[in-house]
Amino acid sequence: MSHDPEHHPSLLGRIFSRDHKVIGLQFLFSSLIWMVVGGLLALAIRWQLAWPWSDMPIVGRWLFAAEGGQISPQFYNVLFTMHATIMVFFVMIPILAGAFGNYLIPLMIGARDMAFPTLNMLSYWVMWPAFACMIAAMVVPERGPDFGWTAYPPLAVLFGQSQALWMMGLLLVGVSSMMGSINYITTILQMRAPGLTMMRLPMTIWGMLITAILQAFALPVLTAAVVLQLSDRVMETGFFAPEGLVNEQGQTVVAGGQALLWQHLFWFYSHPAVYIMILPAMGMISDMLSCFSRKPLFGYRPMVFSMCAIAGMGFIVWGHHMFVSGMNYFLSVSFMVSTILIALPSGVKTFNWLATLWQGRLVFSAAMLYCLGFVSMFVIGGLSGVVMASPAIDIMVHDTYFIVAHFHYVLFGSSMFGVFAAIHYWYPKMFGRMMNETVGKLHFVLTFIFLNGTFFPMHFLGARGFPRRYADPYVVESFRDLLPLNQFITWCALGMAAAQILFAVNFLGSLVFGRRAVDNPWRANTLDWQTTSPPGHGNFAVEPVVYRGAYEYSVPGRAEDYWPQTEVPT
Amino acid sequence: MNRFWGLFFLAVPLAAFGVSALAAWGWTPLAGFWLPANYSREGETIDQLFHLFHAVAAVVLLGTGLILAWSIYRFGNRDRTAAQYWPHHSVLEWVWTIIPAGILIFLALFQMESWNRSKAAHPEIEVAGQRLPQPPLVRVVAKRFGWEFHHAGPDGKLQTADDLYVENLLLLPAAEMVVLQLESSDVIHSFFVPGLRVKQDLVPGMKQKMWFEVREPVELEIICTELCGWGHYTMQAKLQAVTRAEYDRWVVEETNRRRPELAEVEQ
Amino acid sequence: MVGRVELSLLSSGLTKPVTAWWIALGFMIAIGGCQPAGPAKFQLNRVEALKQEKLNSAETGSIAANYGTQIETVLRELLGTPDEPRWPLLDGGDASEEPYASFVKRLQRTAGPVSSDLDGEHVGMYRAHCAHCHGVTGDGAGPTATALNPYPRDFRLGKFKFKSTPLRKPPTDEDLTRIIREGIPGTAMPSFRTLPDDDVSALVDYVKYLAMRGEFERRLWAEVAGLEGDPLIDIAGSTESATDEQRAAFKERLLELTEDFWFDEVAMRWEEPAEYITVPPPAPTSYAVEHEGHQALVDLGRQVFFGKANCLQCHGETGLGDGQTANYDDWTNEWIKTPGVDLAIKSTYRDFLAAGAMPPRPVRPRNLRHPIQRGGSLPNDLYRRIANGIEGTPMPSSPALSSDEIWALVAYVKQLPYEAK
Repeated sequence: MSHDPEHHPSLLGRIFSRDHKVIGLQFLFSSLIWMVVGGLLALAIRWQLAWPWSDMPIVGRWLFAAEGGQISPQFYNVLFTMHATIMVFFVMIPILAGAFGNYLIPLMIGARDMAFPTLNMLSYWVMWPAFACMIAAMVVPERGPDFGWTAYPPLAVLFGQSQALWMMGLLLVGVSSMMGSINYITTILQMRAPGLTMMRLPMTIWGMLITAILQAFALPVLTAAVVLQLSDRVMETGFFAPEGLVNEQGQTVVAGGQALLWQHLFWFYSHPAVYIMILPAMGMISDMLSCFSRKPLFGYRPMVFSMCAIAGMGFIVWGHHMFVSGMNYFLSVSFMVSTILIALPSGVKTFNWLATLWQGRLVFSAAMLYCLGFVSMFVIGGLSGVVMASPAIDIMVHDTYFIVAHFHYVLFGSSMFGVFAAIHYWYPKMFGRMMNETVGKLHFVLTFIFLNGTFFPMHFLGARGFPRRYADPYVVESFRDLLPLNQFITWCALGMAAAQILFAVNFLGSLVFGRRAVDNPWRANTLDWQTTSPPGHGNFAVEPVVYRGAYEYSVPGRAEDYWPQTEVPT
Repeated sequence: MNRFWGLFFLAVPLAAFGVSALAAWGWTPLAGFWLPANYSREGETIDQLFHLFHAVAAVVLLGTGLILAWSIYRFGNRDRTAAQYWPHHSVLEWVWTIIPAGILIFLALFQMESWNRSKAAHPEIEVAGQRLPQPPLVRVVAKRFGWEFHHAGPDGKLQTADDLYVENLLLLPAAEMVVLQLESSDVIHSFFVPGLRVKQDLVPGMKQKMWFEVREPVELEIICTELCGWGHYTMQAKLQAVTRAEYDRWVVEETNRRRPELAEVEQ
Repeated sequence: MVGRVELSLLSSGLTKPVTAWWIALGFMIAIGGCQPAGPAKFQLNRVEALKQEKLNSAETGSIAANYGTQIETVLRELLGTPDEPRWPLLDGGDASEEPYASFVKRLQRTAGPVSSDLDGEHVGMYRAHCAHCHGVTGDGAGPTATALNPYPRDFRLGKFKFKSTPLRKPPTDEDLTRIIREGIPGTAMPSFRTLPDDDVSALVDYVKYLAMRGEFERRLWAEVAGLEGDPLIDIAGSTESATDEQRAAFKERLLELTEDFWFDEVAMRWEEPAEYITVPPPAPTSYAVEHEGHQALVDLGRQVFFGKANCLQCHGETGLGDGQTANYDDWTNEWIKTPGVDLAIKSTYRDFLAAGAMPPRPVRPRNLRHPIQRGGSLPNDLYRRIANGIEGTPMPSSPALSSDEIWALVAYVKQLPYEAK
């Protein structure tokens, strides 16, 4: 068991590395690059909503020369489909589970590496064919993926090669996630350092474990559904195509299926996927809040149980995406009850975070600010979730911008802030250098303000009944007066995008110019900080032994306000 | 910096609450940023629920937001004071589990009735002393990218030769419960009238029923809210609610218009 | 109402696209790179050029190469660009005179780039509502076109299916208005019922403009095919650096072309279509469903359907539209009839597809058991459809049928969807 300074892999060995830290960073970098792409797609969407059909800057002239730079409604559909696909499957899930899961799990449980390093490597490299499939889907002639990221049949199975490519990409992402989650579960259950009992695990690891379990149980359903829809497209099996359906070429599709079946299967995965995209962030910010409050995490056990409750209940709420879909209306009631009740563990977590801050000694590092931003935004996103959970209200707001506002508050305002916090927090561990705190705080302030400017007004749009996925909502006369508000939103979105330049500069610049980091710059307790920054191959020079939980901050009677998990009790 | 960050985070609940409250109240610069005018009977309840849920949300938002801001303001960068070692508190934890649970269960039960009326309790009429489901007045067929409305003709039945087919115009009698039969001829669409708080997906292969009561004669917009292809945004229609007398007159007029001019009786 | 005024004041400086353009430019330059900008353009009818080359056994691409720029110049000088359409004026006409001036102004408002002015009049309606399918040029090849069946109409042949006038006559304004207002059920053509009347009539004018422009262009291609290399016009006279002499010569030739082909052929054909409207005679009294003789009329209709009118050949014995199904419409026949093209062998027409022709699809006879007909379901519509045929399709006119026989057919067709099978 040793730190292995003599480990010198070949170039190929470095690229196809089986070291969890390298794989984690590979996930991190590819997700961040995809985030740029996804963000630009979002700007293009906002462009069209603020100045419909006006020439798109630069790329418009290039892509749509014949129309004088004006995009087509079909391309608009491709824009929002790919924005969602990329942000969900190539950014949020890989960056949380792939990047931070890989990087942190062995470090925080005191293991040398993952249980299955080769499987781990494959879980990253199988993403590349997925990238290729999605890019190919976007550029195939005739029709890109314009059916929304939910790919509801029959629309999705009607026509075009892009759907098959898109489905293949999704399938491969699923394979990657499945490999990852098997690995995470095994590693966390089997490879913890001596003394690290389950109830001494940091919340980050709990978040990763529960996410992995969610994925392991929900993904097979999505995979099956995707294979069915793929065969609908390629082999005309008609699982989801109803009788009498005519495709865009005017041919009757072989059918006999049920369109709603897809929605059930899809949301059976994709609702838990929402939690897959937030539980790791919740875990990470719990650790950071405690560290920067110099105070134990309030109510560790309720935190663990509420996370389990969210995950468990997450499996029985998917129907709330389908209140008005035509599914059994009495079934909606049971989904409504579980949906409203899932707010309870989320609320408990929020109260615990607040209590963690209470009577603390807060340190306003950039990472801490993102965590506070997370809590603040999670409250707004969570509360709008409760509003929508009522099926009666959902009749009004379903498929309007109210929904868009809600999930952006949760996914950007919360999950993405969690990611920003985690990047600022673990950057010294990952690269051995500190990120610039001032630029980080400036980035936080700007992103926070523009985030609210972008997504808060969307609640108002939604309350008016302003529908999503409309290339030109202003053809509806009563929505014409919402144009200035949309222009305001677009301006905030542009500002938010501009603010990310600060982050990119900070992230890339600190790789070279960042201050050298010490091993434990935040004076944190968890195992990851009890080794070198960055850790060498094998992570720990000596196998760590754990004597206490992860949150022993400001223990009365100690000179230091932190107490590393590995410190031998005197 | 604790003051700055405290105020910074204080601004979130205050601004969010303030802006929403002003919008809901209809303060001029924010007028039109809330629910549109409602013209249906059930819509009133839905609006009330919308406001109730938002009121509860506002209390939670302000409460948690103020605690967050205060914690930041009060406990930020205290150089001399150590943080308090306070890992848990069972009573407090039970309190903030049980009270929200009670509120949530209340909300869940409270709004069930409205959903039941909107989607589950099919309106009935009394025929010869028997309560029968009210027959649909109009057959709505959604297609890419438009709406076909097949109004029941003078015989009052759907899918007969005297059906009055109109493209993108739905005429309905106001001040009475109407039942629509929804079908889709290709992909999934969704029938949404913001002014009536009604929405229902139209799934190919399924026949849905929808019912509502327009309170007064009014002209509203019907839009599609389930992605149906490139022309999704163009898929809109007009809903015109008229008095029953006008509606009956319209049925007669339309039926006559659908006949050619007939030759004079020759015999 | 008040709210939005206040908010627009608030963000008045921000609502200018041009400022946002520069900001967005900052982001997009990284991946987009700097591309030469250009306004929207009318595309040349390359299918027509290729057809003329094949008909005249000229080398592929020769006519297009020799005359492409000349025709483009003539069209631009005479009819403008998508951003600034023009309308030919008789020699000596005054461009500032009404109603010509406001007519051209309205064309420009309809055609130009979309502007999202909140309170002002709608601008660029064609590109907001029509160009996605019908294309900026009106060639029926917009970005969504390949996904649609039937294909969006190519206006450039000047043929419209559903109209109240006989074959080879252009549609009336009312016909086009109705199509825009009500859409064409069973096709991707939506109904624009919610557009203001003024916008619809402006769109009708612009559609006619595109149709006439297309016909004019096709006429020019036919003309240049016979010139054997002689120039159609000396385009040096249209450049900035032209001498006065060149300029005068250019102008004179342009006028000549306008006289010969625009005024004498295209505009002539489009004059006063309303004079040719087919007015159906009154229907026999037995047409009324409640009339005792109605069943006899329907039976007569069935006889005509299976006998004299031979409807079953295409529409099938059951009326499901499953009879003859291997015919093509005129927009496809336009080029698939060119010598050398064999639809069974794709390589024989790949060049046409490359030139912008749509992959050929047979036209489907209507399923008469569907209660909604594309060109209107009123009895008068059906009468005209049977009497006049459908322009551009294999559906023929029926001069041999008496008006009573046509009415009988209408009665038969109307009850088909509800007839017990």
